[in-house]
Amino acid sequence: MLRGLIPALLVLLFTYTSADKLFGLETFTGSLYNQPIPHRLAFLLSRIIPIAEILTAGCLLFPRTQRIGLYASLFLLTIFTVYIAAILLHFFRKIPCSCAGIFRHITWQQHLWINLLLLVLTGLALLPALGRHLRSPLNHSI
Amino acid sequence: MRKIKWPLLLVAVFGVCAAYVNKPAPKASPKDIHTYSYWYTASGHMYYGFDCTSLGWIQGLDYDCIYPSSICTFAADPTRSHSDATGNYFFTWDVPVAGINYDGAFQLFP
Repeated sequence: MLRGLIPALLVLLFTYTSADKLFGLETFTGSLYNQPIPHRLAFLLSRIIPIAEILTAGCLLFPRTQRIGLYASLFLLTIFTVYIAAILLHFFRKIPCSCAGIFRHITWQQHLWINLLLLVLTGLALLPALGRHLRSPLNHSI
Repeated sequence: MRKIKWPLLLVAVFGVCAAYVNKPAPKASPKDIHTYSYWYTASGHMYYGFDCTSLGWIQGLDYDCIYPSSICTFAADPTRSHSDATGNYFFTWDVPVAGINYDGAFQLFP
């Protein structure tokens, strides 16, 4: 049951966050300009992130591409979790606002816990696939 | 398309609808340009114009203008940490602290 719920949770997360970014693209671009990253990179990310989220959600919708979608989710969540951790560990000169969608009302600490939970859930969803890969004859022969 | 997981597609549609319902309110005109700092010289002032709204800042929430003045300076909300184009903070009443020097470079007052 959990294995079926995790992709649904990720689809909801990525469709909501990508649509939220696209409906308020100017605001999202502005919020990225307020992050401790170069402005050119911020502009580029403001276009790349929603597209990556849509593609990830799209992959999760189809059984054939769901595993790719889970890996993409793991990748996106890992990058964002590392970024949040870097903020909380004061790697940057300031703590910017966490201003995306529903997450604009929560602190970076809460954000980190949510991300870690989602990372664990995504990992759990990928476990059967990883187990199959490890048990495959090709893998044993290597 | 034949093999799509329909319950997940419904979840995706729900996500998009939820984002649409919660989409941000329209902001002030992008032409609302506020000068926020200047470089004072013996011959006068050199002003540095800046469009706050292009960064997604919302007047009355992220910043506010202090009048009366021909120059709009800032009172920023300290709970909403921001930096300007150069990475400097706007935490308090923004007495002009920086500007453009004769070389055209942004420079902090000593």
